[in-house]
Amino acid sequence: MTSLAIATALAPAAVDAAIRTSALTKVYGSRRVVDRADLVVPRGSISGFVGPNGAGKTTTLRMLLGLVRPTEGGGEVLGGSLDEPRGYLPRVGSLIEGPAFYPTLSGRSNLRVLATLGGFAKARVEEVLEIVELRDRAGDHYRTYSLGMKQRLGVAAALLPQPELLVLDEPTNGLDPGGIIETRALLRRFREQGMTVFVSSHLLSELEQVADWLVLIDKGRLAYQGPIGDLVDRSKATLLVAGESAADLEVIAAVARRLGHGATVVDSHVRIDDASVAAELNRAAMNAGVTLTELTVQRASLEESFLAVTGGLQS
Amino acid sequence: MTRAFRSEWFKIRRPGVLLGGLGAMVAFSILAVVLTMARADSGPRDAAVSIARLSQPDGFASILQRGSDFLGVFALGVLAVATAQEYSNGTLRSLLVREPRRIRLLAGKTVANLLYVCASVLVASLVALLLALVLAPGKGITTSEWLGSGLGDTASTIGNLVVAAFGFGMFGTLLALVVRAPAPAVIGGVLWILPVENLLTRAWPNVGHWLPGQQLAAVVARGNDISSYGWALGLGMSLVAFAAITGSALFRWRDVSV
Repeated sequence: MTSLAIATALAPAAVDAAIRTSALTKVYGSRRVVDRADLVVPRGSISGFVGPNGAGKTTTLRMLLGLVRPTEGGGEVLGGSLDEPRGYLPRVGSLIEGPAFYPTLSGRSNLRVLATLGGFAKARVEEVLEIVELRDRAGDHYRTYSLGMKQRLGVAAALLPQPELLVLDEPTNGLDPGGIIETRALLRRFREQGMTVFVSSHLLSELEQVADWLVLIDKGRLAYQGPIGDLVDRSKATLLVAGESAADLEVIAAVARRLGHGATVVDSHVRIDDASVAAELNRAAMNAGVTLTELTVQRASLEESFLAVTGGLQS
Repeated sequence: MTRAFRSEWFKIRRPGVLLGGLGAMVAFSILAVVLTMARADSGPRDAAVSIARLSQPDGFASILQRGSDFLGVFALGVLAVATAQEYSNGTLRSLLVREPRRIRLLAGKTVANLLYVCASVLVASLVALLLALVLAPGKGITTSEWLGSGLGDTASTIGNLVVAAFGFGMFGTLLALVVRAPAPAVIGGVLWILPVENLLTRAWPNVGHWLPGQQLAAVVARGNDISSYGWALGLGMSLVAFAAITGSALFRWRDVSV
């Protein structure tokens, strides 16, 4: 596959989308930060938005939230046009580029400021504090919070409107392993409640365990979008083969090449680029006087699939 | 806009903010009264500070007028910090997601802060009046006319202080929207209205006729050597309208990338 060709597992039009963009583009000077992105995020899913640092993730999210005006293209969020963010933002919660609050206000007061602005009931502030388990420290100044508490307060602020769509930009940044696990559990809870969660990360491994849908972006262009499992399935499985001695490896490689397959000796194995030839290779090796001691089908990891799609440019 | 106002007011009404700003204004007004009274002597009636001058019906008004520079710094600083800190804290993006109608957000925030500044001016003026009424007899200053035939002068001077505070506050807001950081907005604004405008006016007196800070100072003084009251009020408010339109356009159209 061409490294930056968009790979879409399902026809985008067939997806019931919470977010759908069309040729969404942002240009700063001569730099195309987001380049003709046709983004689809299915309703009710946890969708991961993954790309290297500087790939255009945050700019895309800012355009979806009405903070940055697209240079070209458009789209819809929860059925509302990107040109009229006020039509859909009351149903959207967001945490963009880390939590940002007033340092000398308490966590509770910070939420009250946003709740008042959004027209939400005072009681909702207590509810979201309860959800993120921050009530005990809600009266303390925000500046005294740990990074994990700040992130949780950011998530609480995003939950204020009881959102249909939650947009989270790198929500696990700076969290310890415990915090990352808690965040994953929270995201699963939100999905169970019917929310659509669109969460960005520059680390695929963070989203691997929780996302149903994946959107890969690189250099401002979509590289893949679809169910997370399909990305792995798209990558061709390989065959790892070993013989009784090191001298057998070159013989095995030659046999595989004679059968029309690519073969490379890697350490104590031969890697053959097509896993479907196992039986044929076994017979041919036997005829060549080599006994195979190992014959393993190896699937690409999600990370490897991502690197294949983006041309190995992940930072 | 009401929600934006209430949201901003929620921040302003904290004791630290409310009493801090108000306290600074009151402290300055007390200082102005005490220093004026201490300097008052038996000089001629047309001297800036003399017992005879201060015993005039507009004697108290002349004390208030001496504080216009501090008023400018205070109003400009409050509005500039309140606006620019939304950029520096990164809180603007959260606010705009909750209120995407940017002009309403800006208007609500600005009105809340202007109300706070203007209320501080009123309270500080009243404190100054009470203090002056207490201290004046000790210096032999007659105050009977201050609240008699001079009441109109006192009231119009307080009104002009409020107008000037509004003007300085609007310039602070514009500066904050241009530079999007509190320190440069406040430092730039204060440098402009104090040394820069004063130097320009001394070097080229006609230039002062067009400078915003000089007009607002002339409004407080009900006209001075630089501008008549009518000119100062007209040009000052025109410049305020320009600041409001320019600031709104910047806020409405610029990407929020902080």
